[in-house]
Amino acid sequence: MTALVKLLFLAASLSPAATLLVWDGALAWPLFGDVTLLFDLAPLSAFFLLLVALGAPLAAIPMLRDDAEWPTYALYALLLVGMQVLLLAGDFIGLFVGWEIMTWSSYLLLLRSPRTTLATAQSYILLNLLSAFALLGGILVYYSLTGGFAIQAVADLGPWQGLALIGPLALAFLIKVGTVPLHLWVPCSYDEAPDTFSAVLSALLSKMGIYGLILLLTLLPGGLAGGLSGGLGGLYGHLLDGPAAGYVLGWIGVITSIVATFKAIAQEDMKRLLAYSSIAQVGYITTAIGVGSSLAIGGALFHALVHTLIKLLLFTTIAGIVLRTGLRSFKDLGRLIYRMPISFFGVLIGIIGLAGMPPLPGFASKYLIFVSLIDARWLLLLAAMILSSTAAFLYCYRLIYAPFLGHANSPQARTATEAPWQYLVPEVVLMGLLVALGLFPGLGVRLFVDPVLTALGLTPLGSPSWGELATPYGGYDGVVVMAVFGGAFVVVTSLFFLLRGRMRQAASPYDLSYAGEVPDETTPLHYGAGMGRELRRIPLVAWILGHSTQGLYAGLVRQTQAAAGLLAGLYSGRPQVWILLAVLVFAAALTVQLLAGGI
Amino acid sequence: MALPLTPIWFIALPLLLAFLAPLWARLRLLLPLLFGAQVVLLALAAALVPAVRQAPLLETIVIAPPLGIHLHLDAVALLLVTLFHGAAALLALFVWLDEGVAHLRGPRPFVLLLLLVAGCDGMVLTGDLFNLYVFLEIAGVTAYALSALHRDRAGLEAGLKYVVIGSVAAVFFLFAVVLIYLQTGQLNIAAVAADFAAIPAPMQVLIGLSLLVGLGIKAELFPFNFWVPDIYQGSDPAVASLFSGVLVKAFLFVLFHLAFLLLADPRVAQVWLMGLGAATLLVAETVALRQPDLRRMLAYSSLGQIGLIALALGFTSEATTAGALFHMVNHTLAKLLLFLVAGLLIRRAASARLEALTGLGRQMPLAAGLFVLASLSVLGLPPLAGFASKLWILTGFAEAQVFWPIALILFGALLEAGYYFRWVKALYATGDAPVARGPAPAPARSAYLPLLLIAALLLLLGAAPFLLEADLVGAAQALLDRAATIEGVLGAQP
Repeated sequence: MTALVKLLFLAASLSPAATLLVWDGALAWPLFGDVTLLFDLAPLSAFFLLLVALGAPLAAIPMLRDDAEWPTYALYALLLVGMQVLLLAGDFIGLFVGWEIMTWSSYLLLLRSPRTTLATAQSYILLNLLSAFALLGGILVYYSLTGGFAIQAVADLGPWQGLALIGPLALAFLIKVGTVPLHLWVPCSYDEAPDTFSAVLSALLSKMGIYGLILLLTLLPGGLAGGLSGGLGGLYGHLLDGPAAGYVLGWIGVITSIVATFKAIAQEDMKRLLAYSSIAQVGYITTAIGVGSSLAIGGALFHALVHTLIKLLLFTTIAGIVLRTGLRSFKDLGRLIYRMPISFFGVLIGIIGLAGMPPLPGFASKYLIFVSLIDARWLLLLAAMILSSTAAFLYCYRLIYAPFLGHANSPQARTATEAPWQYLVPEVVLMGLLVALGLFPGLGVRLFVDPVLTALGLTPLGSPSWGELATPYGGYDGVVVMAVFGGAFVVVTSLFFLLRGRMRQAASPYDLSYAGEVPDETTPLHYGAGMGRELRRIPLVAWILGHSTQGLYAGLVRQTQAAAGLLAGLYSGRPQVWILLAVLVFAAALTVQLLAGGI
Repeated sequence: MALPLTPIWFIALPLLLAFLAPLWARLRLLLPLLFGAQVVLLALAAALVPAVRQAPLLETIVIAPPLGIHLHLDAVALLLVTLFHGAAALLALFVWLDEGVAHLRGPRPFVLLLLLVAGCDGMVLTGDLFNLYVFLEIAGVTAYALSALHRDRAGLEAGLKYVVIGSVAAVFFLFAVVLIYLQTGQLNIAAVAADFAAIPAPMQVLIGLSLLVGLGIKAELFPFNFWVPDIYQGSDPAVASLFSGVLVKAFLFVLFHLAFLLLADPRVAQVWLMGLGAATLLVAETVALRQPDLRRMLAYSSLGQIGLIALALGFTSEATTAGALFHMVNHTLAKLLLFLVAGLLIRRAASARLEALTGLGRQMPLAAGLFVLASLSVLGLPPLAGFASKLWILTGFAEAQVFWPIALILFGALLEAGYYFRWVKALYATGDAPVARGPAPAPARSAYLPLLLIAALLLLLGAAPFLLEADLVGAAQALLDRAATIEGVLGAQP
C-alpha cells in the first residue's frame, strides 16, 4: 500500500516533465460569460515549466524517505498541478487559478511541519494572499482596459493607466519574489517548513514570481521587443541607457540583495541562511528584469535556472544533515567532512555556484547580468551589486566551514552518518548538471535562453561554440576555465596528499589553553558559530542587521486587532442596545433623507 | 388522480406533513419523511424548470390579482426555492444519518424545520404584501423556537433574544405594509409597485426606511445585525447552518425584490443598499479577527458574506446580480458544510473555543479537511465555487469601471483569510496545549456522506460554473426586470 502510494507520488512528480514533452495544442475551458480559461505553452512559460520539470522529481525523491503520510504527497501533487496551470495559462484567470492553488497547497504543506508557528503560518498565507489579491486587482484593471483576459500586450496605455496596471501586478510578483520590505514571510517559512519541502519553496515557488515579472514587461505596449522605446522605457522615459521605471526595479532588487546578504551572514541557522541567500539571489534577477535588455533578460533566465539547481542541491544537502544529526544550528555542527563526504561536495559545488565564481554556471549568469548593467551604463547599480555579490562569499564560506570543517560540537555531529540514498541521488544529479552547465554555458544559452529571447522579440545571445559564452563585452570558454580550475584542484590536492604523508600531525585541536583552562571535548572550539558578529561594527551593515520589518507588520496586526476589539464592542449581546441602535439609525436616516430631499 | 405540478406544493406539502407529525412519530417515519419531503420538492423544482424558462408561473388562489392572492414563480424564485430545498435536504440527511444530534430528531424539530422552509418558500413565492408578512412571521417564529430547541441556558437565551429583536423587525415591516395600504389601497406587490411613484415623496422615504430597517434586521445588515452572533452561538450548529444558509437568503431576497420592484429608479436605493452591504462586509470581517469561539467566528463570516452579496446586488448590473445570486448558492453550501463540520468538531472537543479545538485535525482528519475545503470556498480561492462567484461579481464591477467595491471585496477577503487560517492552523497544530476531550465518540462514518456531497458540489460548481450560467443570468434578469414582473401580474398596462 505504502509502496503504491509512493510510486504514484513519484509518477505525479514527473507530471511537469510529461506536460513539457507531450503538450501540444491549445485547450480552452469555459467558466461563464466571456471568461474562458485558455491553456497553451509559450516559450517563456516552457522555460519555467522546464525548471519545474527538473526540480519536481528531484525534490520529490527525498520526500520518499520521510515517513510522510499521503496528505503530504497529495498536497505536493496539487502544488505541481497549480504551477502547471499557472505556467500553461494563456489568460489571466488561468494564471490566477494556478497561482492560488499553488498558494494554498503550499500553505497546507507548510502546516505539516511540527515546527511551524502561528506567526509563520499567518505571515506566509496573508502575504501570499495579499500578493494573490493584488494580482486579481491588477487583472481586473487589465480587464477594464482591454475587455478581455487573454495575456497580450495592451495596445495603448497612458502613464497613469500604466501605473494602475503595473502597480498591483508588480506588488503581487514582488511579494512572491520576496523583495525587501515584502520578504517577511520568506525566512521564517523556508526555515520552519518540512526540510525536504524548503527546497521546493526556494527553488520553484519563488521562480513563479520571476515568471510574473517578465510576463508583466511583455504586457506593456511594445513589450520587451521595443527596446528603449517600448515597455517600461516607452511609458516612463529612460535613464542613461535603460528604462527609468526599470531603474527603480533595479534598485529594489539590489537593495534586497544587499540587505539579504548581510542578514544571511549573521544567521545562526543553516536553513535561515539559505533563505536569506535565496532572497538575495532572486534580488539579482529582479534587477536584471529591471534592465530589460536582451543581455539582462538572458542573464535573468540563466540565473533563474542556475539558482533553481543550486538551491535544490543546497536545501537537499542541508536537509540530509538535519536528518542525520537532528541539528540545524551552525554552532552545534562541525567536522562532518569525514562523516558525510558526498554532502560536503554537494555544499561545496553549491556555494561555488552561489558565490558566482568560475568555473560553475553561477558565474556565467552573474556575468551576463553585470554586462547588461554596464551596457545600460547603470554603474552605481553595478557597484552595489558587486558589493553584495562579494559579501556573499562570507556566508558561502560559513556554509561550508561550520558544518563540515573545524571541530565537532555535539555528540550527534560526531556520530552522524552519510545521508540516505534518497538524498544523495538528487544531490549527485544536481552536481552533475551544475558542472555540465559550467562546462558548456554556451550550450545552456542556446538550448534554454535563446528560444525565450527570440519569442520575446529580443536578439538572441548566441554562442560560437558549446563551451563559449559570448557577449559584446567579451566572453569566456567554460571548458577552458573548467580545465584550468580542475587541473589546479588536482595538482593542489595531490600535492597535499603527497606532502601530508611526510608531515607528522603536530597537535590535536585540544592542545591549547587559555586563561589557565585546558579545553576538553565538550568545550566548543568552533568559530563558525560566532561568525558575522564583527559585521555589526560596520555602520550601515549594523543598521541593516539591527532592523527588521517584523515590527512594522506586528504593528499593523496590533492596529487591526485593536480595531476589531473596538468594533466588537458594538456586538454587545444586550437586546435593548440593538433596538436602541436600530431606532436611532432609523430616525437619523429619516432626518437626513428628509432634509436632503428638501422637504 | 394526477396532481398538477404547481408551486403551491412548495408550501402545502411541508404544512400537511407537519400537521400529521404525531402520526409519523408513531410510525417512526419522521427522519425519512423530513429528508423525503425535501427531495420531492427538489424534484418538483427541477420539473418546473423548463416551464419557468419559458415564462414565470402565476398561481392564482381563488381570485385573480390584484384583488386576490397569488404565488409568483419566476426564474429567481425558482433558483432560491431550489437552493432552500437542496440545503434542507442535505441538512435532513445529516440529521438522519448522524446519531449525535438527538434533540433534532424528535417530532418538534420535524415540525419546526418543515415550517421554516415552508415559510422561506412562501416569502420568496408570494406576490402579496400581507401574505409576505404572514410567511415572514411563520419563518420568524419557527426560527425562534428552533434556536431555543436545545433547552440549555445558551439556547433559551438565544431564543429569547431572537424573539425580542425579531418582533421589532416585524413591527417595522408591518408598519411599512400598513402605510403602503393606507396610501395605495393595495396589497398586491405588483399593484403597489405600479402605484408607488404616486405616493408623496416624504411618505415614500418613510415607507422605504421602515422596510429597510425591518428587513435589514432580518437580513442581517449592519447596523442592524448585532443580534446575529449571539443567536448563532446559542443555537445548535445544524440550526445555525439553516439560518445562515436559508433564512437570511430569503430575507435578503425579499429586501432586494421589494427595492427593485417598488422603485422605478433603483439608483435611489443603490447608495443605501451598497453602503449597508459595504459596511456589513467591513465591520463583520474585522470583528471576526478576534473571535475565540468557532460558532461566533462563523456567524461573523456569514455576516461578511451577506454584506458582499448585498453590495453586489445593490449595484443592479446584470453581471453583479448574477454573480451575487451565484454567491448566495455557494455561500449556502459552504456555510452548511462549515456549520455541520463545526458541530462535529465541537461535539468531539466538548467546547467551541480555539484552545479546545487545537490539534483536533489530527484526530478527525476528514472533518478538518472538509473544514479547510469549505473555508477555501468562502474565501473565494480557486478551484472552488466561491471563487467563480466572486470572480463573476468582480468582473461585473470591472466592466462598469467601478473600482472601490473591488478593493473593498479583496480587502475583506484578506481579513477573512486572517481569521479562517488562524482556525485552520489551530486544527493542525501539534502544540502540547492541554486538550479537553468530551465523552462523545467519533461520529458515524455515514454522517460524512452529506458533507462529502456538499464538498463535491462546491468543487463541481467551481470547476464548471457554466452549468448554472443560463439559470443565474435568467434569474438576474427576472430580479432586475421590473416592468416585466408588473406586466406579468397585472397584464399589459395602458
